[in-house]
Amino acid sequence: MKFVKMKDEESVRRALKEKKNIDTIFWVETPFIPGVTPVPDDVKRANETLSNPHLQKSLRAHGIIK
Amino acid sequence: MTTSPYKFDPLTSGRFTFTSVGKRSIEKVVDFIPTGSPNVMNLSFGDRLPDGSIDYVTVSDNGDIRRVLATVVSIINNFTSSRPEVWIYFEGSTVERTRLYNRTLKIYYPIFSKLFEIWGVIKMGDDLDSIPFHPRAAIAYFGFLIKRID
Repeated sequence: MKFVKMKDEESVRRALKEKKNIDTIFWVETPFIPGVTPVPDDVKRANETLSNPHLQKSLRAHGIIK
Repeated sequence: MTTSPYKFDPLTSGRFTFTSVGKRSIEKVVDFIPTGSPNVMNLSFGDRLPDGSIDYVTVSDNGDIRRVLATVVSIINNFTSSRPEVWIYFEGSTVERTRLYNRTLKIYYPIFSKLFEIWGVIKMGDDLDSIPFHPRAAIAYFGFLIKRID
């Protein structure tokens, strides 16, 4: 499995179309901008879970969150 | 679309894409996005739709699930290699998906546990709690937290 960093998502799409190489993962790093980038439902759900007071206490006790 | 204010630290979110080639070609997207907890990032996994949005719910049933999951594991490995201090949280968008993640963690546990510390989130009545993930325990995990072993 090979990782190739691309400059943008359009480049990824083009590479996938041209090379069709499933052993290569083309990726881009996209900045997450709070308040601007839409928050996916997954993340909303994660925040809901992680903000559970009992879970937070447990995660703190185990040193998982600070 | 909604936006939500987050505490943000110097980490940037990462997006990985790959193509699942089974019955048809499907562009898969794995996103690592900061949560409200500073050192925890959420792993979102889904299919890219023609309009550019991501479908996190549909099970594509493309006939290559093992390869897709192995790729996701490789991506987690790659992502955390430069961010070893980060915990990755994930839960399924449906109960079935969470079960699938549980089964995958059990299957890959011998390999995965050498690379990652794995914790499970469980329901305790109306509350949630965290316990170390156990591959042989018959527990209905609610979500999972993993961190690269230094």
